[in-house]
Amino acid sequence: MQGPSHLLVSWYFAEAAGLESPGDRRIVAWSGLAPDVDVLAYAGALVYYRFDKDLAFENVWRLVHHRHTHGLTFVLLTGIAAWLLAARSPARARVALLAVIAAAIHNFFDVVAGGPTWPVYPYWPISDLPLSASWSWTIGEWPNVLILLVCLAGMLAYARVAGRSPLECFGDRADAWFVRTARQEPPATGPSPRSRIVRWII
Amino acid sequence: MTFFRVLIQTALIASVVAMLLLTFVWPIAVSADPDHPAFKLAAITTFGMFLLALAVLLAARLGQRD
Repeated sequence: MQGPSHLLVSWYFAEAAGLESPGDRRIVAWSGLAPDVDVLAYAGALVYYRFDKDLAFENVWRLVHHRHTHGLTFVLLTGIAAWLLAARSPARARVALLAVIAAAIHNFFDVVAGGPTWPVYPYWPISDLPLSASWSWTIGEWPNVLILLVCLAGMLAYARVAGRSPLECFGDRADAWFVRTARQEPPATGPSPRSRIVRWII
Repeated sequence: MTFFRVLIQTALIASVVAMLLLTFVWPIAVSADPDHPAFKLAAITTFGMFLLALAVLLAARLGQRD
């Protein structure tokens, strides 16, 4: 499944589970995307190999992608991180549990919709047993594109009706801006961009 | 309405449990080969059920706000 789809589905999952606080939903949503943090290794490899994509792919991405962050160990680490991040939340244990589930089902999504050439390693580092299906949809196939489009349409509908959206993953201001745009409301009267820059400098 | 909601919530929870079992238990308990026909059927059914239950539950939540 595509990265944005993981994030959006995880946010919808947190919303469906009835988490009231935007901060709690944000933790669960990012937990659902967290296993794809191994993309940072590819970014680092690109810099290391002076932007030679082939070398970075062959020497790093092909070896690390899905191996170290797509398994039970990383799922449990995600749960611990969520527990720590939700320290002030009254629903702390629930947030941690939902974060664990979001990270765990990311692995399942990648088995079904991650393509046959990218196995996940559910028991790494205990076992290197790979899990990949020859029938798995690749990232660009229509089911993955459809899922992303439905998630994006849902984002618009949710913003219009509920007054919040998965964009709250990027902060309350981003969400408020998107809700205003989706509802075609006038911009909030606040400090002008120029005064914000002046305030930032001061 | 309550019965419907409970039904969909049960479907969502069941699909989550099934996804966890298929990913972390099936490979050691049944078969490490996801090309097994039973795995394929169970995985695609579970995947569809999860997304559908999620969509219906969220649509019901939105409907209640109108």
